[in-house]
Amino acid sequence: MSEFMSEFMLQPHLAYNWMVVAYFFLGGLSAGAYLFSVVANHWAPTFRPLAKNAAILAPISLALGMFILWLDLGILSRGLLMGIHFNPTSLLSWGSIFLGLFMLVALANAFSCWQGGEGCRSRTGRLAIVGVPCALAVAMYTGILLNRAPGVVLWHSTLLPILFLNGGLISGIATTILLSLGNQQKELLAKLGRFVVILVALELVMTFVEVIILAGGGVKAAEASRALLTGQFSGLFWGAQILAGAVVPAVILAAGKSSGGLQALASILLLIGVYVMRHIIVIGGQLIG
Amino acid sequence: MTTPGATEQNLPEQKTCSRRLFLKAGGVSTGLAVVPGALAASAATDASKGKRLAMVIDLQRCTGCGGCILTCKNENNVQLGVAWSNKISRTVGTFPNVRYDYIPTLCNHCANAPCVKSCPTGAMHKGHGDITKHTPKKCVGCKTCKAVCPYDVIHPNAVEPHRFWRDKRALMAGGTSSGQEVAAQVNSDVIPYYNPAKEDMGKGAGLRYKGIAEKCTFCDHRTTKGELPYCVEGCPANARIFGDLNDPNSDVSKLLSRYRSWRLKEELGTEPKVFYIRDFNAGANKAKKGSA
Repeated sequence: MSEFMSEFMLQPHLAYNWMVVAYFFLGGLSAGAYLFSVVANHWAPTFRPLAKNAAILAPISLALGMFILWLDLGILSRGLLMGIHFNPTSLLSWGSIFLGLFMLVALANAFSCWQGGEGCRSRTGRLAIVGVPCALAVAMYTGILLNRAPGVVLWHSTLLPILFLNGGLISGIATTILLSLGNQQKELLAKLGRFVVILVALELVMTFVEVIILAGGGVKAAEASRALLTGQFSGLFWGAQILAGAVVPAVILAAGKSSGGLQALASILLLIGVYVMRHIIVIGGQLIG
Repeated sequence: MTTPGATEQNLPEQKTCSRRLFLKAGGVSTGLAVVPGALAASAATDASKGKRLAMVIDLQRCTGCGGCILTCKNENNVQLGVAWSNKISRTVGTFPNVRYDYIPTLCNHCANAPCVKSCPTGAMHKGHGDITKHTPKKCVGCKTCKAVCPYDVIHPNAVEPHRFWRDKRALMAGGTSSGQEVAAQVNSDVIPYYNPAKEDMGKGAGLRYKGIAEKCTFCDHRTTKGELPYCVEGCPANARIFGDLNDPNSDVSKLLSRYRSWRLKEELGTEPKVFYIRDFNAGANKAKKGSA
């Protein structure tokens, strides 16, 4: 009988499930791609040929992320309530405003880059005045949102928003590399790959600083760091996030080989690494506390 | 039984005159309970207005019977798998030196509530009596309140609530009737996920849908009329004491000044308003000079 009844019970479940992880991943990816397109268009002319792909990637991945987030809502038809009601202390309220603004800017930016031509640079430049702050907000607000949970040590870190932004840049650029593989710009991609290595190194440094601080930060924090280093999440942490998701692709990209296959492999591994990092933070935070 | 898709619009009007409320009306001075559709929660008659409602749980009186959990389910029609009134029970130590701990839990109605601060639509808000309230109609089901609550007392409905009453399978094959048959026999006009105890609170508070969050309300449908929460009413050991912290002569204020009290996860700064006093295991050790 208990088995029968258990079907009707609300199973204990996570507040933030894989859908939220996927949204965090795609939102960060979108912001990273947009930021890269702006940088490539205006400050790093070497990478200008790649700006168009990045600019088009941004709104598409954001739309996909927002779609997944919408599916995660308890009542789908109420998604628009977020636009009507506003709670100034809620990071989610602010996030939804920045998401909406960023979506518009990313679309306009993608359209400009798609058209190309003379006015493209000045138009994207003007859009960037609104777009860059919005992209930064979209990439980082999720990290601040997690910081608002008082009981979860894994989420209590000033580094979290920065880690999320850095991961967004890595995944945005990695996806841009993937999309640009067919364009016969192998040398350019190899050059961009070496730049990504710097971001990956930063990510590794921040991750370990975070873990070291956790390990010395009281009973619960030490428990969380053990779960990452030797416990429940150690396989994902060492295997997927650190080794496969950061070290291996960094080594491949640092070698600077212009082989399309290797570049594709490294990019995919980087995406896996960034996704797993978000998974460990979001799901792990709820499970280990 | 109406269909699962029923909404508050097609709820029968007579819901307001449930049998229980009729019985209650005898003991309650306000005639509001018998007026269909009247909102007893309106500010003018709200007995909890201007108060700072809190609960003291006297662990030495508590016997760990779990009566509070049952009475809460009874009063609030809380569904299977969810307990607004809950408990932490654990055995500490190694045999034969063991101790059994029992801590009744419920929403702490924190003065500095993380769920209220992080709700994007204001569905989770502070109401009269400094109670943490939830307006189902405004809830989008983002589950952020559950994610930030350090006490795990917020329950988003993962599946359609009260599904059992619409299921055709027998509880025990060949032995008992099915949930659907029972519901048909009762011939109730109340839809299965309808929470009749909340009908006075307005704003769709009687309904629970799939997807939205729900939690303990300190029985606001009772406290607004000056009654006690039902877990307090139902505690056979009188271990739960309920009252106004703003009133220095209330029982809770007196108990809190008489005894050293503690709250769950106080260090997080959420300022919970459920206080615990004394010890569940008091008197377990006989005093003896110089030894345990």
